[in-house]
Amino acid sequence: MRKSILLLALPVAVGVPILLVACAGDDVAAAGHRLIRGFEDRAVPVTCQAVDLGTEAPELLRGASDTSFVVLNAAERRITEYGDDLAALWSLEYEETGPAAIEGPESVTLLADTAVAVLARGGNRLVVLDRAGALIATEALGFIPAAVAATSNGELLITPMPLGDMPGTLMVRYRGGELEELPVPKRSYVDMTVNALGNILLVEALADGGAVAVHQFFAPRAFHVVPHIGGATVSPLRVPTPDVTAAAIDVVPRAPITDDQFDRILTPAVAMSMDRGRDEVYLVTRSGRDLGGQPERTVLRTDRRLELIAAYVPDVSFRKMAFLPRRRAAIVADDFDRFHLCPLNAIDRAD
Amino acid sequence: MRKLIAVFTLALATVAFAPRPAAAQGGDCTRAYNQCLNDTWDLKGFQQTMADIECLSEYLGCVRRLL
Repeated sequence: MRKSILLLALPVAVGVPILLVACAGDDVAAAGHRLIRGFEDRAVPVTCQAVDLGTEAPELLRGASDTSFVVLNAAERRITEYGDDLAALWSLEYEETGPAAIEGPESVTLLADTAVAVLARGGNRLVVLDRAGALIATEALGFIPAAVAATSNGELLITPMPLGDMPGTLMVRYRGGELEELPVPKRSYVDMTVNALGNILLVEALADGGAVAVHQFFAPRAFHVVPHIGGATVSPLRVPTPDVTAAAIDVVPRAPITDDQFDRILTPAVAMSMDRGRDEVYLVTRSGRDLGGQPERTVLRTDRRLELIAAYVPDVSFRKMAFLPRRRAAIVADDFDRFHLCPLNAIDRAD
Repeated sequence: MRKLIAVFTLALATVAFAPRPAAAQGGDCTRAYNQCLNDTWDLKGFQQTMADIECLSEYLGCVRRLL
């Protein structure tokens, strides 16, 4: 049963606006946001261990299977899949010119057991390679690509950084060489750059062929997408956010975006990873606190509807993460591009 | 006094040359974007539009990497 408390704060000085605050329940504020109340008490501190993968400066880090993850190193032009024992399973070197060119990689995912798909900003392309690096397919997307996920049905779901009306929605399905817009709705912002940032979605596939897509900036909103013949069923989801960050919810910066504004905006999904076996989503977001002069990150463990299960606060500052289900740990790359292994198996601070 | 100056100088140098993670430099993306747009000023019509889109693409990629 939810408890509702209505507070009316009178202005104490000329020019101070009247504040009307309604606090309803543990998780959902009256404005419809899913706040994690008492975050600082609930979050589980995590001690990470530095690990060496024999590679540095990963451009992209992504979970692959229950027992593996993939690293794209742009400086070396190399894509490598690692097992959760941190040993390399296979590796390919890609080209930056020619038909199979990957320039400006934005997102990578493994496709079945045989291929790897990469979104490249150079040419705004999808590039699909086999594990020897041979070209399987390319597709000119017609929009700036943001993220890609491979569904259990072998389809690719691609999200854009929208520019004006291109594309018309926030998700495109690629299958059989064809691109199809799925009805994931855009949010509208006045400024072009803010509009592009405010509509970037990260996407991860669920085990049942559907997907979860989460806004990276400004709005703690997400979607559950179930592709089907002729389109998709799209349901809105609310993303849990630490109560410490409440003031940043839906704050929209003004262009040009300054350092000060960057430090204060909400980032509902800095990174995202999955445990498909348990149907759980792992989101990296800002905790609202400071860690050594940088925004501290927290990992939110949720179910497929983004209902919070646990919150973790690793002792390193990072933006890139892949969850390793069998190890119940996350491999992260810190702000200096060094790798760490962070156990994420406790449910609450008592564990 | 000399010791105080030496300590202060050392502290200042430590802060100045300490490696800074990129998260504090989101504004650098904006500055680079503005410079890129300035660099396209001598292009005309469709060429300028495409160049500006390329600038935006670089900017968005920069912001995503830093946040």
